[in-house]
Amino acid sequence: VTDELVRPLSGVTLIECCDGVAGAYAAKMLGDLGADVIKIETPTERGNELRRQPPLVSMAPPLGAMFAFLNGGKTFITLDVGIPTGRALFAELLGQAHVLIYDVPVEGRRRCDIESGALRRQFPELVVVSILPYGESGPRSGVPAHSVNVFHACGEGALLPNGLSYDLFPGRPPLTAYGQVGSLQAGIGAAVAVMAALYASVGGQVLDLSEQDINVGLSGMTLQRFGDGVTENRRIRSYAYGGVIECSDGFVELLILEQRQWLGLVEMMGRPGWALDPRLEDPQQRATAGKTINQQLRSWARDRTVEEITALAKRSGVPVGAYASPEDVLNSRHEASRDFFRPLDVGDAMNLQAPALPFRFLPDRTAFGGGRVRLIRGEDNEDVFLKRLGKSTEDLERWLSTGVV
Amino acid sequence: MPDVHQPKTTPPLDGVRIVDFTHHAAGPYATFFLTLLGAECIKVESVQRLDIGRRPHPVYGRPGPAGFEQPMANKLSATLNLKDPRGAALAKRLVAVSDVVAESFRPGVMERLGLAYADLILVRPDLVMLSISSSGQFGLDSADPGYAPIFSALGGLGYLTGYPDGPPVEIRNMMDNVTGMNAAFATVAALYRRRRTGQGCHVDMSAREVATNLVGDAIAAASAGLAVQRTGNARAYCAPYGVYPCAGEDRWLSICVTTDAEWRGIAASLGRPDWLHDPRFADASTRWQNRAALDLEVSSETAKHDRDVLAGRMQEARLPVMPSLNAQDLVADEHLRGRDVIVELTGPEGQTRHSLSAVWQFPAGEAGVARWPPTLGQDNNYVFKELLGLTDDEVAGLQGEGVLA
Repeated sequence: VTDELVRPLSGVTLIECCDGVAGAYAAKMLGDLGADVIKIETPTERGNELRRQPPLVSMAPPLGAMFAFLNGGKTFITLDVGIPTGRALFAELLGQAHVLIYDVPVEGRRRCDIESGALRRQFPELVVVSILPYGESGPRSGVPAHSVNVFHACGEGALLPNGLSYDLFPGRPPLTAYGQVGSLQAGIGAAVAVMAALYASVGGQVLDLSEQDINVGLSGMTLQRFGDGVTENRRIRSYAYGGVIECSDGFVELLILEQRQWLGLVEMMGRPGWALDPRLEDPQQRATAGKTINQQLRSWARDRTVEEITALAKRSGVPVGAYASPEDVLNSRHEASRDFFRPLDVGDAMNLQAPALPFRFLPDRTAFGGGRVRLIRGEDNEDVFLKRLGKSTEDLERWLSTGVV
Repeated sequence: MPDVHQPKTTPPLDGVRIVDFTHHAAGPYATFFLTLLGAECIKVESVQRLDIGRRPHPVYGRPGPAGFEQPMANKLSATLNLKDPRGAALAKRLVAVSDVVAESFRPGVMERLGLAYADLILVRPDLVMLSISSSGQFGLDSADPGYAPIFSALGGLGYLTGYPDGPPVEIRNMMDNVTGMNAAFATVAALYRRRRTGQGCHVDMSAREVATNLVGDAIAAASAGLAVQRTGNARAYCAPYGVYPCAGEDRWLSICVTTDAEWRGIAASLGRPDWLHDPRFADASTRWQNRAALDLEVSSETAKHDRDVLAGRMQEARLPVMPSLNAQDLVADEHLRGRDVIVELTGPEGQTRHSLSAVWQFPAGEAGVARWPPTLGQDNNYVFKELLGLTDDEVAGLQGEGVLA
């Protein structure tokens, strides 16, 4: 087995100059496949804010869970690209790299002379990927945004929650999916773009990516429904029956699309009288009777555990899934059988784990992910500036003392 | 020196041909994304078993089909009865002249059709085969059926999404589509790997592992013994941070304050300089402690304003705010229109429909939607005569016998 099979992006050098989640996640995905990722942090006391973003998995030095998840296996340097010496070192790094991913805001780019057009002229062979909340061009390009803003800019936020949560709290504000999903999704899209640019193999190009664009790209069904003449909202989006079902010790999700699945559900509940009503054999009639079906289903499920119901569903071919907490997912026997969780090495006794990429290249079952997480800013400065760029120890010390590095 | 601004005229996946057996949403969106990057995609269906997206499912609460046009845009359509041995044989001949096979059946179905990876590499040794499933091709739960809300529940995303005092929330189409985007990444990476090594592979895409990656930080936290719970729209130690009502029905604005400067800007924009002197809101820490009161205050002010006017004013002041957009808003959004993220397609009868297009902003002319969704079997002649070399008589005969149907 050659290295390229196990690490298909080996030999690709990627410079990541990102404070945010999206660019860092894209770089992580590419790094997991073998790219050599050099992450640039600003040489301020605090460094990347994500280091301190709760929840913290370690207090001293602070290590945010998101920072740990995003940064396994990366090489960490500090560099101030806003001053001429730093800008020159940045250029030297780019001269040796294949890809740059950066999220410096538009105004900062102008100030540092690192707008994508300028980089394109200077490095015609480099794949320059700009990832900003709304892109580098367009009327909103200079507007800052966080993951919640991005999520609500894509059409999906206006549709959450639906089903049980909406029924319980119809007047509440629409929701965002957990945490920083909008930015993580943008990172996946950015990783696709980099991969496509590398595959095209025609030298450099500039990609002006937007977190909003990519998240809108995930809202195809919203556009589909609009094209069908319906502007969806939280109220009308609920399933006629099924959905989030409360059990004695948690919740399961149940969705019946096919006739055989309905028959399986009837069997699974022990063929109760109400379910044998011949009218319910017709999918349309079932949808009309959705509220009644759910009342019965909820009352049946309330006295049973999640485990009982998922086991019954498995036997009957009914599509059911447990609402798994992070602990449940981490302890999942299924995921253990896929060796899905990879260690994040933080250099102490902590047994930190993170999910691998969600795919394998069979027949090899290797999961891609994990790696060492740098707790100290600039931990790899010597390696990069001395060994890779061939600078002297004196140079590095001078840059350290003057805040370049 | 060549003009580096001269756009290339070929898209990044130019020359890549996909045979697409996927159905429902995650798979069709994966291949749709690949067409946006320039791949040719031949969707194979049979009259006996149309794509689930073409058929009505009343459980969705609407009488018509689930939604087919958006993910079919850009694709070619061929009909083939895979249950007829001659149909399966033609499918293999098509695979032999293609680069990628995509499918999203439950594990085991392609084997039964004689179209497993092991069968197909006999006709195309360097094939990249993409298999998308709820829980992966191997592992304890691999045979279980699943749809988006189920695999988002199993993977941890559903559990962590929701109001803190409410139940978990089902994540629907977005979950399918982000699985599709991850699959697009994995497929291009596998093509890149094939180019470097000459070897294809079977890409095993697990949708629940996509969901787990979207909560990767919570998994890392759980492995360190921290319990992460649902937080609604909130982010720890940031306030105001969430989604706030505006004048009119179901009009909302996301506001994400993470710095004191942004807080001052929000207070000024809402005409409430007095907030800056209120000890409850003096700094980030007190704002977080008093966030319930703060949310009420902010909501009572935002509710007086037109959403778009207020958003425009705040964005002008470079504040992180964004309306919660629905489908109608997305289609009308000038920023998105200027970036060609959503375009209007015109069909053969002059009908129009909005479609996703330049999600990735590859330079002009390289990628994006060009084709109105095809009718069933519209491209049979191209596929069976041009690509496979069948004669008119052979095609007519196979059509008559229900093989090309």
